Amino acid sequence: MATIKVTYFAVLKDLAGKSHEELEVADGTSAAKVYSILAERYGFPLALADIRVAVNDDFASLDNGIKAHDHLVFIPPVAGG
Amino acid sequence: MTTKMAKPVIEVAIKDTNLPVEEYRAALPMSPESGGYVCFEGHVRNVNNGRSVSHLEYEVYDALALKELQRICEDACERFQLNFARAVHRKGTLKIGEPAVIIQVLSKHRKEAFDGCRFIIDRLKSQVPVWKREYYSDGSHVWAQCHDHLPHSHS
Repeated sequence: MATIKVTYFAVLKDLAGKSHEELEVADGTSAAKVYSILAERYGFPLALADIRVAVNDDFASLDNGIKAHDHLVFIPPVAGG
Repeated sequence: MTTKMAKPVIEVAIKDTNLPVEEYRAALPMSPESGGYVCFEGHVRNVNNGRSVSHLEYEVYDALALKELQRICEDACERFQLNFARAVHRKGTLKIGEPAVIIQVLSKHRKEAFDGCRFIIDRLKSQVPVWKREYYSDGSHVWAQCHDHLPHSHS
């Protein structure tokens, strides 16, 4: 198992009711799978197609496997400017 | 005669206090090669999609937003031969009329300056991890964009 940190922003933070947390996942679990687990737990309404993921403060593929101590941020549609 | 262009100057920032737009204008690194200056300021508007807005809240993933802003400005400097690019975005609570974003560019000619400025603000809006919560006069609020992707959105 691997301990990872997940940080939430915007609508995901509201629904999770927290800005970050640590999770235990199996080594190599994809970021997409982590999102699915969290979406079910917190009722995230956004589909995988509508989000991006950052791993350790850089955009990454949702298909990438996660390793211990990774920091994940799921990025809902952005609205700057 | 061709002279090798100096390395462009890039400044990016996320600020949680009112953007000092006059200071940014005064502190431009003007040079004899820069004939064109273009600036875009985005201010908080009082109406969006027909709804009366009372104020906004911007949330920013600072570490990635700064990296992305830097990358976008570097890309713009290369594509449009800019001598200078500055991109600053607000976070926190903003009142109507307050500046939310400022983009400033310097280049040799006007076309590159207009195009480079446009490129940076367009990329910022589509890629930089910044989220906007709109608060309406009737007391309700939504996260812009996120709301549009919800499966059962009726507003």
